[in-house]
Amino acid sequence: MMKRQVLVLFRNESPAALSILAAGFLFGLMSDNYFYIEVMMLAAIYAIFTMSWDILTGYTHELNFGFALFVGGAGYISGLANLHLGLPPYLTITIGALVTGLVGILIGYLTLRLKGPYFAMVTMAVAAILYKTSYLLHQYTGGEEGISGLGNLTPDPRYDFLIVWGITTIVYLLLRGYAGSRHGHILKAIRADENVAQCCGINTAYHKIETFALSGFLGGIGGGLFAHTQMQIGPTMLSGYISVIIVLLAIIGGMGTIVGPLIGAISLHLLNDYLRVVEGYRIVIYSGILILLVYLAPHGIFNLQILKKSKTLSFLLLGRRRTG
Amino acid sequence: MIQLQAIEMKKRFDGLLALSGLSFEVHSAEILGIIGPNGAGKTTAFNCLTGFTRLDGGSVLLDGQNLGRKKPYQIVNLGLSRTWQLVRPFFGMKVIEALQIPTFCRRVKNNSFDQTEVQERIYKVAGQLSLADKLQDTVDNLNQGQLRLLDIARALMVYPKVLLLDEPFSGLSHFEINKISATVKNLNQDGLTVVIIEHRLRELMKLVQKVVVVNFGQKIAEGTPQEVVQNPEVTKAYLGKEGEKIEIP
Amino acid sequence: MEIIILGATRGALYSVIAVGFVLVFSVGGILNLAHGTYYMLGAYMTYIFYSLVFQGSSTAWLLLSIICAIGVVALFSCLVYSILLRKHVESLTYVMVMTLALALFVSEIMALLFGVSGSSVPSLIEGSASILSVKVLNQQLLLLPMALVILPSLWFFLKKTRMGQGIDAVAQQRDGAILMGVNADRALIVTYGLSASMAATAGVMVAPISSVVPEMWLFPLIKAFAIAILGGMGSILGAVIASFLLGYAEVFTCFMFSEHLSEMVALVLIVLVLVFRPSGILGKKDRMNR
Repeated sequence: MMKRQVLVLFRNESPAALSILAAGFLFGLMSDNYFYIEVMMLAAIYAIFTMSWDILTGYTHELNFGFALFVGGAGYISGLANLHLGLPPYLTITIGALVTGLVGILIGYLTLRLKGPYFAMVTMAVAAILYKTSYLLHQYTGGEEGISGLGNLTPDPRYDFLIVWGITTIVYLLLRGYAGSRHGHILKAIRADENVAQCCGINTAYHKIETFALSGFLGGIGGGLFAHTQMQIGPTMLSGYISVIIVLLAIIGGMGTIVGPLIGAISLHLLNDYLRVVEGYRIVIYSGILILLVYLAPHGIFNLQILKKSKTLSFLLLGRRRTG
Repeated sequence: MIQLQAIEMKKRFDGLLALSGLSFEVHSAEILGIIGPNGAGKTTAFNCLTGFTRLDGGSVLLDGQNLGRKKPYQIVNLGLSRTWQLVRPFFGMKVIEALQIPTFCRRVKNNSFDQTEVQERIYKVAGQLSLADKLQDTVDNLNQGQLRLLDIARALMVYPKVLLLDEPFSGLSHFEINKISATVKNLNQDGLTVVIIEHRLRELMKLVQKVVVVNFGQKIAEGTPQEVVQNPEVTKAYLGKEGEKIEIP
Repeated sequence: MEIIILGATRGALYSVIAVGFVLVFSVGGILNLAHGTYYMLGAYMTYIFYSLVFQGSSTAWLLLSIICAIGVVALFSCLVYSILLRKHVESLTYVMVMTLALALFVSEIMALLFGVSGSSVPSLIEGSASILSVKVLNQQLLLLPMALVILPSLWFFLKKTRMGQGIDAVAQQRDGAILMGVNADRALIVTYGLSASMAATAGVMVAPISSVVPEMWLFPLIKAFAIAILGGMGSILGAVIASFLLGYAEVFTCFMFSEHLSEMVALVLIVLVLVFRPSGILGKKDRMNR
């Protein structure tokens, strides 16, 4: 019985995403190159960010331009709880994620009425307020330096890697399941026409807040993992830069697919790392490439029409499309 | 039995009185037509009935229950369903997916035994509105008439007690209008209460049992189609002068 | 007394920045997150022309550099619009993402070329003046006449010239204006360039007082945001009033509490206004629903 349910869980999944996730596990088990293990771990954390961003923005098209709020917020909370209260990482990460989940509910509730640019602006401003606050409260947050010396997840980076990669896989399956369930369908209906969705007897406000909370919670888990695997958290994780990078990675991957942001984030992060060979120009080249990709495929690589038209490709990359 | 009752509905927009004490009632299993010149307040009345616009005064009762401060989705769950003047389907979905959305509401859950029954209802409603062979098509590929049918199908999915249709005939051909008329008549014979706003009087009058005429946000006449067209007030509202008759076949 | 004068100069600066931002939004629905970048580029280009190209040292050379800088920024912004934005101008997501990515990109390039520590530009008028026993830098005082020249001429352009009337018409009723034969695309590109050059002018004027650093694009962007929202997002008059409101509010906070807290004013205002009165304090409600 159990086995069958697990099989059902995977049946509709994208083969491409599953094989990348599996390859990551294999890599973590086999490789002795700790440098690349660190790189892959960070890539997976970015994938958690972009996927949890995607569940809200990709499915409702309410543009969240302040995702750093969840990422950095949870990172700081779990970091501070670890540093000052001495709580173990698994507990602080949970606390941080719960707090950002609640913040998601609060912001979702307050910004329900807002659409389009106004929603984007408010999320941006809230994140910026937190960013500034981290400087104002520098005696606690370390100001520009951030806080460092946080406890790591496990003593061995390899186990860290396996845990992070495992959580990424769980987040991926969870979000795919959510998006494929009635919740995801309702979000798509809200995206198409919120009033008509209400005419279908659906409490659209509730569903938007629920998704906001989920997005904040999972983003918070990513933020906590970042803090404890990097063993430090600084204002960069609260800055507009990180928000924009998350938006860019998810959009280039393909909004509203979960797979796209997963693969987009991992591959682009690896590219970013590869560019270390030209360290001085890295950020310029990286952001230049991102701009070029957005320009060439504004709906993202996984939403390209060529992919959608070819049955094989679309199955390989996006998985079986559920209808009925 | 009175099923839906609007009592003294008042609504003001920036100093403009859209509804100035509009009252009417709909008996169960009746088809009521609401007519009136452009800007008379018909669509505003629908928006107030369904909770999309908050009333400044007056009240709405559905089976004796006050819909006063209820939200649109709560009103749908009480059994009052509507369509829109300009069709607003869920673009980007397949027809079957679009019809699935209403099945996620509480009313459908309460009214159906299990998931198979819900699925069967989709096929049944799609069949009633001759969309059965379009279920796997994308909404974007439907024509205007089919979109209209889809909109009505969507409104029917929630097991409504009362169905509000806002200009269901506009932009459609004769053939399509006849099809929709026949469907509405069938549904009505199964016990559905229907309220229709429509400008195409000729087609409307054939369908409805009672007509309410609205002008300047108020009811100016009420009665059977025959009575209403002979009412001089109505001719005046429509033609701006007295003495001429509206023709109905 | 200090508050009155400093608030006024600040308001003048903000109004020149924000009016362009609001104008582009109302004409093309473009939320131009690269607006601050043009402000930054204005400052950098002045530095580049004055110190690197002309290597002059007189005020005349400085003036020439300023004119060149504004021209280059205007040209650059038109290129950005026609190459990057024009194709997908209807998609809000695309425009926001693209302009913000561009802002980051340009700021990284500037950091790469000139370092993060800052470059300096001399003032147009050196020294400072005392007004009613308040000491103010001359360059800062120059902001007032700048706004007094730019804003009325913008108004004149929009109301009295043919091109401007077209732009104004598109802003008020896009479809109607197109039906009347206004070339909306050209109106938009002109507006975009105009708005960028206004931001650049503001950047040029501020360059001597604050140091020219790669991050300087962020600050005007946030102010423009706050002002646009405060003023109701569509109205230019609202934006001007809101600029001075924000200017005074910030100077006041700065005096009463601290410099750091005054940077928060704009952000907190954005959130509060949007959450509790989304139509803006001065705007009309229907602006929201468009």
